[in-house]
Amino acid sequence: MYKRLLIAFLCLFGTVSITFAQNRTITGKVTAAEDGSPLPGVNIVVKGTSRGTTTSATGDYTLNVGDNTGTLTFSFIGFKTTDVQVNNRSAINVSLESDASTLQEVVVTALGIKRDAKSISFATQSVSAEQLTVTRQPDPANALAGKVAGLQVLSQSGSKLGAGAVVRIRGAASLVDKNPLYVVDGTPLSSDSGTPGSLDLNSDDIENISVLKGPNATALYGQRGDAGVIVVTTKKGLNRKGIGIDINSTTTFEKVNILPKYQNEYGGGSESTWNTYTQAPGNPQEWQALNGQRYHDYADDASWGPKFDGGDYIPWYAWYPGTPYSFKTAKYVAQPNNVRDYYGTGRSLNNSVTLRGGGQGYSIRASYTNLDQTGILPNTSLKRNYVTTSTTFDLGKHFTAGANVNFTAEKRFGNFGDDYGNYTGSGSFNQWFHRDIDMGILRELRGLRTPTGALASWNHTNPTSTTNFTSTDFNQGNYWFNPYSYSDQISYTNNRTRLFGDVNLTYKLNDHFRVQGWARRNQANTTYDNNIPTLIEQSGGQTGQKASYSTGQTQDLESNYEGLATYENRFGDFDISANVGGNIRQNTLSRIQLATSGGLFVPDLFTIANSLGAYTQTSNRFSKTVRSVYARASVGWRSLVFLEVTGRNDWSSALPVNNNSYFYPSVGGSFVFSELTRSALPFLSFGKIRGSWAQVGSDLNPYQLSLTYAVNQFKYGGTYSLITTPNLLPNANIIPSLSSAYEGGVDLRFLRDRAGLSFTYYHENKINEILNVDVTSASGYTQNVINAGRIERDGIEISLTGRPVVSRDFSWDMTLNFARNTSRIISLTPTIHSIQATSAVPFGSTDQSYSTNDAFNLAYVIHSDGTDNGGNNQWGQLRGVGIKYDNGRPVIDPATGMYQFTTNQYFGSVLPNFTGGFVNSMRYKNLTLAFSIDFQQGGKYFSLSNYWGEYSGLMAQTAATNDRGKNVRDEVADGGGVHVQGVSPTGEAVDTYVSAYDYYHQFGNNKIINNSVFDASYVKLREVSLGYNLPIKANKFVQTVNFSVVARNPWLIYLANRNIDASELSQRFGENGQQPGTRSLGFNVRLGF
Amino acid sequence: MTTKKNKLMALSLVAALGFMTSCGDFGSENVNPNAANTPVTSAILTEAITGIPSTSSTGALTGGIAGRLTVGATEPRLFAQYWSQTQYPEASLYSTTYASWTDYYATTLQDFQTIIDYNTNESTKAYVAQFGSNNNQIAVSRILKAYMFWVVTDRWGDVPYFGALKGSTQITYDPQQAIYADLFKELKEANAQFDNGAMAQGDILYNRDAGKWKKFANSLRMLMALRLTKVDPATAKTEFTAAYTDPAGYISTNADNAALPFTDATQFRNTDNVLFDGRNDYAVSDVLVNKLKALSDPRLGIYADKTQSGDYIGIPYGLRRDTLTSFTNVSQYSRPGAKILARTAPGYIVTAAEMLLAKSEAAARGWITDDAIQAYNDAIKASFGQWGLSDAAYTTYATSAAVAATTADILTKIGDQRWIALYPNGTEAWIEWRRTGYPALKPTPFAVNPSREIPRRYGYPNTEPTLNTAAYNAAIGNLSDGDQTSSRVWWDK
Repeated sequence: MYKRLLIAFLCLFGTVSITFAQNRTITGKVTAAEDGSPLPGVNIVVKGTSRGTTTSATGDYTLNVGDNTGTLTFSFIGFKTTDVQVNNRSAINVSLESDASTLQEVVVTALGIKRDAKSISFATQSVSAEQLTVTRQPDPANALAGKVAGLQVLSQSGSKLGAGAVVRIRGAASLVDKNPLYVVDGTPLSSDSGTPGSLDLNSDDIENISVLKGPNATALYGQRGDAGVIVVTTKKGLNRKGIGIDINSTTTFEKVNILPKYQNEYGGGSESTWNTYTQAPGNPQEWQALNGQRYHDYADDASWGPKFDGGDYIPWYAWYPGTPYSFKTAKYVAQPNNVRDYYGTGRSLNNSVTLRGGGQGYSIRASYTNLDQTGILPNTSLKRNYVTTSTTFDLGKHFTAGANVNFTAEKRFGNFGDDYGNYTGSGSFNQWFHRDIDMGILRELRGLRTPTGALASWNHTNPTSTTNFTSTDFNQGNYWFNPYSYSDQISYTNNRTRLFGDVNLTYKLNDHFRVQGWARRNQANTTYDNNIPTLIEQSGGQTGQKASYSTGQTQDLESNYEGLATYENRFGDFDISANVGGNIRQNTLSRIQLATSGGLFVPDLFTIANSLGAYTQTSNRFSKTVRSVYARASVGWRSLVFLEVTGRNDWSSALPVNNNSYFYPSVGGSFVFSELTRSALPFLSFGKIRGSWAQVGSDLNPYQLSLTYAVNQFKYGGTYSLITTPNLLPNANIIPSLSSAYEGGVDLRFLRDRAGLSFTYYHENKINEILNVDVTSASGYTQNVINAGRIERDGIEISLTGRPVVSRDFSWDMTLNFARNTSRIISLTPTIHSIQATSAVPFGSTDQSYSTNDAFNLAYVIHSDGTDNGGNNQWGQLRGVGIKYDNGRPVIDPATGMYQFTTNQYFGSVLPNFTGGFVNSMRYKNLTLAFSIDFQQGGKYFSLSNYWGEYSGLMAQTAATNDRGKNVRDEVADGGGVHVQGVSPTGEAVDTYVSAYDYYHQFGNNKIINNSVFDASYVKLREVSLGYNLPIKANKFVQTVNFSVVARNPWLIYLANRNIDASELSQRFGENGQQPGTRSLGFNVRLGF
Repeated sequence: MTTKKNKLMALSLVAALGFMTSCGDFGSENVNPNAANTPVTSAILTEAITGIPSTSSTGALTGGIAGRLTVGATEPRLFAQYWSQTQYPEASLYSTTYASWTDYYATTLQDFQTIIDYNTNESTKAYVAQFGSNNNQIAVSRILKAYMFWVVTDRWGDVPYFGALKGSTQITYDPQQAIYADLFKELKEANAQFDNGAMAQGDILYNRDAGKWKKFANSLRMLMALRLTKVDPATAKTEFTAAYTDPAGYISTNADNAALPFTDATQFRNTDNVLFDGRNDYAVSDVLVNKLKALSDPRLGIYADKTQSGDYIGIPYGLRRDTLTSFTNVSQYSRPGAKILARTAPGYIVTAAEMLLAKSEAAARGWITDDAIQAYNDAIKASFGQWGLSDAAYTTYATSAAVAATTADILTKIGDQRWIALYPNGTEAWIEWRRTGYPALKPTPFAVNPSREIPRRYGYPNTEPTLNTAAYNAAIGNLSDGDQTSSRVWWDK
């Protein structure tokens, strides 16, 4: 496979000088023995002479040879060098065998420059197409988990269709939490949209992903690469007879995976006592059947109700006519699986067709993918179509033109709210719910109307609460709808189209010098239409849901114009390579959003003009330009010593005019000592030490240098305009920030590459980082743009590769990745010692509150230099109200047994201590088994589900058995209650029992988060696939048939807290009541023609 | 080939150099097209008075002067026991330990400071004079700024004042005593600053009536002076009488009330309307209902709504969530009345009833020579007038034994009537309870705060310890009980 990486790569080692003796011309084509694909850039030398050439993009060559008896030597990285006798032939086609010992020798580095791995002075790691497509994840970023040392993937729950993974490389590089930059075939796909979008590529179209981790690798990408760069190379066309067709079809089925452990002892309501229904005059006649029966409190959406006893009770639905269950009691029993039963089976169909072909002077690849998903949440779906094309044309002798075009159209349907109080599932089940709800009946009664026409809900008010049962009050949902009814009624549609790619032109003067130009474009257009029908407004008592319509569109465009001149040559023992380039980047964004307010005038007419109150609108546009020039040069000596320098200068429109230019260099070197030890240490097949130093500069979002005054869209009384004063105190003296990093490492391979070890240590300083920091609002502002102090990170990355078994029938490849990183805040400002963490403010927004880094004002992610927390200066610490401790023992009010608490307590860093993965691939004859495990140790997170789930008596611990053998909900006098031990404020020991209700309410009453902060350690079997290559003889029609069974997230081997999948946290601080993750099983069929 | 290469190299070098010299010039690209570089000060004034959040999609008016006293701060109404919570009673149980002051400083106060700055700065004052004379814009802004700072210092105690609103991010907390002294000075100077030029445009509070602004400023001085009765009666008397005798007068009739005129528009409707829109979180408390019933006060029919059963039922103040279940339906308890919750119900800031009670108290204290009982009765009459009740109803009420005051019990009676008349302005009612102890409110037995008493201030914003560390640490050193709600502000002895 790797040979395709080499496409367009030139010969580093060729000694080429064309002589003018015109004796004999030989033409031919060089292909790979493995699959017949053409090999461009192969060195061809007439043995013993200086005559030579390289193959073209299509693998063709033409060479003048001195006579008819010579020998041609074909050499190419990754392939066995092959000698061929001319023997009077004029056409010589050669098929090169790949050389396993030098595979993976080429890496794609910054600006798409492909380089010999030997010469690389920094850590990079590649992920191959095979590793990416083990289970054909809809988002390729998810497939990176565990496969690269130092890369942490926070996948998003499978319930949220279309949500991309959050990726963090080497822990945290800066005070602002950023996603790495994705670069696809040289086109940057900025994550400026703020939320992690998916990579918008079908992983089948990806040839290789190369992860550039630190500034040393990314210096040439400049500012946007400072959180790491993920370089994606897509597959290209190939030259073969006829047209190659690949058909790939994956079908997977998803089920909900980890759910919190709920208590199954007590049902709904705010108190454990029963109410008895007494038929009264004026009550509906049918209710007579319920006379004398008991019921629990329906109105409170908590589960502090009566204990399950199997007796009869009046369930929520019995009060409403028109169902088989009307006016009948039910058994009051536990419903341990009700939440699990809520979620349906998701289905995902992923079908793609790829055409590949080529001929004299051209190559083409085109693929079409259709992804069709239905989610586990009711009434949710995603449809996505990808078209990817890649073409190259040779225009005469010197010019090659090419184009890469990727187009994605997506339609997402459904409300994927996964935060506090969402109406679509988790917002209720994990936070406010009745544990006695029979989910089958809830599903069956979706759409049931009450006598007033509202949608019936499990959470209505109590019959004692009114005498008027035809009032809407009794017949609405109090806080909650039936989630099925809600999901059926609302309509949330999100359409997105994305186009990215480039057109390019290469002028190749000769084998040493060429100039390339690219015009690149990355544009995303998003529109949404969200309808909430009038029935929802009428069905909710206190939900606050108005009938509404909102719509909007965002156009996000980035253009890059890029030129690059390349010179490569060999002088004696020296290999020289140099590039000079320039880039102009323009970003523009325009956003229009409209929403009705106060309800709709005409019911269910979803148009903005139908707004009951004045509709709301925003329209904004932003623009920013960065111009850059850069250069790099490298020299290698005898494949033994390599040295490289780079430099880049940026000019940014967002910086102050007089200080908008910044330069940053890098230097690195590597020493391949195995070249010298080959005979002394024969088991060492490869050994290299490397070291590098680099800087990266950075700027800020536009319009942050001076005060501006926003005009409010609304006019008081229709005539008085309103203007607001800004909250962000700008800084006209802002200077570019600079990261400096050094790293060193060693790469070793043993026993003819059967085992390998790569080790890297890095250390990085970031100074003057530009960010918006919170300031005391007594200043008149809430934030200030500053150059903030200094942050450091360092860590190690280890990657072990092995092939324990290599034989004709059985082979086993494994990779073990491990990384440890610490990020520390050295200083912020002279006066500010801790700040609230923020995510990168997306382009087009100056509003820092865009990101949610606090959970419900309960837990905050804080960067502290250690001044106010006893010296702990680790990046990203959770902070909130915590139990007060006295010498490690909680301080308890002896009168009440309640914890004393203090504000601003620290609970540890959200960053893990170490991360890693274990990737395996085994082949036995035609069977292949691949699986990957990833893990993380340490890191804290806050769970809002647990916080409210305890408050409302849903979580298992709220009905646990205490150390006296009684349920904690039993009366303390009867041996129940939660055992509380600690000291009183005056230091005397306290040892008492507190009623579970009081115990678990104190956290909610006083915002104490201790109980809801968890360790994020996990070990996860993320991907498994078992494939079978049908042993058919390649014929003219079908060439390959592969069948595989794939499983995603089949097994969470270890979780420190088994209530939440810590590998799928949706927020930096943890989770906000998020939807559960999924696991899936499916099968894949691949046909090659 | 070599020459060709060199030529190319040279060419690219020249091109690169040319490129680089023009690289740093981006023209006006970094000028924000979405917002004004120079503000229209009259529009800031309107914003400051109404103050809707710029990014709100619900249009909830939470930022205005009246809004900040109501929606932005529902707790004081609970502390004053006007209302009870119906389902999530944490705030009623005094769980609130600290409160953010961002809406005060960074929004409204900053608005007034901006108007003052633009009308003071030599380079901008000529431009903004088109929105009203510089002096008049400054005078109006100083009055409102003083009002807002007064609210702030009475909520928290010592707060950043002299160094605030200047962009500096490390700001000392000034003693409340010094703040009060400056507020008196500011109000005095502001009243003297009005000139005969055009009044400030954008004035939706007094519709550009300078005379009413002066009355408002004098009224504020009188009320501020009263706050000092316990801690500095001499200054209190001096300041009160100076303002009271000022020829511009004070708010003595309902026509002069400082009241924010909310409109029917969703975004500018009364903040209590927003609070109850689709939610049933609050009810009138039994404390209020029982008091008004005991006095046969006809204002009960305005302050509260009848239940389905045709009675006024307040929810017992300070119940826990598990004991509130018997009140789960709106039809079981009284919500605030329609006049309180109407979209266009005015947001009262200072009323004639409140001022006449202040006059009565000053007379009772012997600071002024007027008849305290007459002023007390005038106040009740003004309050009845404010809510559209008849003079006949007033006469019946004022002459009833439970209401009519004597020289002996006048301060108690003022306390009761002030508490009733201020409704629904919980902030002022809570502050006056802290000052006077009237009415005799009992804390909830289910209090969750350490002192288990009704809060006497707010804790400082929880961001201050880290953002303004030195100043914060110095300030809490001066608090009797640390940064807790049980510590008392300077005048609360």
